[in-house]
Amino acid sequence: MKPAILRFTLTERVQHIILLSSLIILVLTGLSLMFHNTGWGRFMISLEGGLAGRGLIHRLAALMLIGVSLYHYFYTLLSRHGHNLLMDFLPEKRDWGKFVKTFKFNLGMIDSPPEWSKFTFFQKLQYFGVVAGVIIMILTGIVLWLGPQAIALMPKWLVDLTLVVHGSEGLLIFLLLLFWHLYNVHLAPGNFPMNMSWLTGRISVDELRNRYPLEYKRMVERKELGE
Amino acid sequence: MRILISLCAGLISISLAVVAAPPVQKCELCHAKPGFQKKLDNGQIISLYVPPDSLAQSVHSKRECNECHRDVNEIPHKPGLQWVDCTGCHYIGNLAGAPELPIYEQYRESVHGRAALAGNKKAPICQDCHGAHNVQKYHAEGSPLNRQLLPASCGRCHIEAYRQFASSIHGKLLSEGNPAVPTCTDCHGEHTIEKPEEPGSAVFSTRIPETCGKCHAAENIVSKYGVSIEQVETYTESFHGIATTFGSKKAANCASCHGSHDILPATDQESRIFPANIPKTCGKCHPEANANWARGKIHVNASNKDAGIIYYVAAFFKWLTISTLVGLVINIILDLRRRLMKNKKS
Repeated sequence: MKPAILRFTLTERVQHIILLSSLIILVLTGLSLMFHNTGWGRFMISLEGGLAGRGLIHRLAALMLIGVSLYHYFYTLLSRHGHNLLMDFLPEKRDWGKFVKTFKFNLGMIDSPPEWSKFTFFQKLQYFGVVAGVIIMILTGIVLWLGPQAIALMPKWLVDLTLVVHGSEGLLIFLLLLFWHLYNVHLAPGNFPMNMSWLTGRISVDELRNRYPLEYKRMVERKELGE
Repeated sequence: MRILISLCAGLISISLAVVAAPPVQKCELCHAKPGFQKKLDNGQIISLYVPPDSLAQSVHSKRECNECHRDVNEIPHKPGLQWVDCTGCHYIGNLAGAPELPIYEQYRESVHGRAALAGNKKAPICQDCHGAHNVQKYHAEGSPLNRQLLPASCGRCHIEAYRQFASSIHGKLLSEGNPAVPTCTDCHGEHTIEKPEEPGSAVFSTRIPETCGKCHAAENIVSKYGVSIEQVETYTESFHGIATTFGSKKAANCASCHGSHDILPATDQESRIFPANIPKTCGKCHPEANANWARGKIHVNASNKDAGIIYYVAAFFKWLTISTLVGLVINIILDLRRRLMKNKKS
């Protein structure tokens, strides 16, 4: 067993944990309002301390999300580590070909999967999807937080539209995280019960070579793997 | 023989007169005289005239005066006569043949019954609403409780509510003979009537949506008149509606915006929900309400094309979510399939 190498720094892991905690709370309190007329919704709202408690928890979690998002924007724009992370996430032209190749491989039309660098195209899509989705949720959420004041600032129909976007986008993000991200990191064969690198920040050299061969080659060339 | 027959006929007619007539005839000696009246100690003059055929035409045509006026058994009457107590016959298990209905008990527990039993002389007892001698079935033409006359009957005490109702959309339509509009009892109940502040009242704040919804959520009632049944559902799905469902007494209910006795349609300039009046109406609870509050619908249904851009955005998200979900499930299936094949090969 070759020594594991660092994939996510400590601050990245802490950001991820704050992000996922806030998202779980936001999804639970948000969906319980969206499904308030079901038994599950009523049960959840009673757990959350009624409508007022639900609103308070949702807003506190929103502050967590806003805080970690702002931190992340500064982190990716101003720090060296963060900047490298952002660069690794930026899609490249050749990703599109590999994207098609992945489907061909999954359908058994070609024998070998495309070779990825530090992140697969799907992971990059997820990253920017979450960034865009969170920005939409924060902006619409602030409008709804203002509530009556918001209707004084803009036509009522725009606030109604904001509500529809906030609910629909929130549900969409939840489904994406559940059926895509959580499937990949927890349930996909080989990762079950979960891929530990979100906690340890580390990935074994074997896994790096198998899943992210270009990153492996780059690290070998730069002699970053030691022996 | 002739003498015998006329004797028999005479005896029969005398005996009939003795059995049936005397009490009535005696009462009628005075009470059938128009203008028969009495001056009370406080100077008020009350009529004691009873139109001779009023009892005969009522549901109590087979009853005698003293079956109800039980404390009247001598002439001149003893002072301190009581109001007729209908519960002498109208109770569950009576042998007089009066209908056996739960309404007698309900009345005792209602706001009217409690006040009357506590000695409030202004509180209505049975005969104040149903009439005294000329009691009819409530829906009969001559009954003060039929749909057309009911508002005026309640209005004898509830003057301001009656005035407002008469000029409201419900009141106007009622006077035009509309058979579907509500009168007082459709919202407030009859013998179960309660103060609006009592949780048991059908017009208690959290119960109002359900009460208005009896008609406004019923397609077979309001749709004929071009009134949408969407308003109740869009309300219960709104922030106000959800808060009300979860027991908030502060959140707006139907009446908070539309009014109660004085409801007018949105097209009426006097209406609380006429667009120009919306800032003022919303402003009762939301001081920041301005003209923007009228720019858009209040009852928004995102799945109805009338909602405009809201409908199209909601539809876009609906299909985006469905196609995303399908895509993700296909992705999972392909991924699992490939991994299984890889396992087989190795």
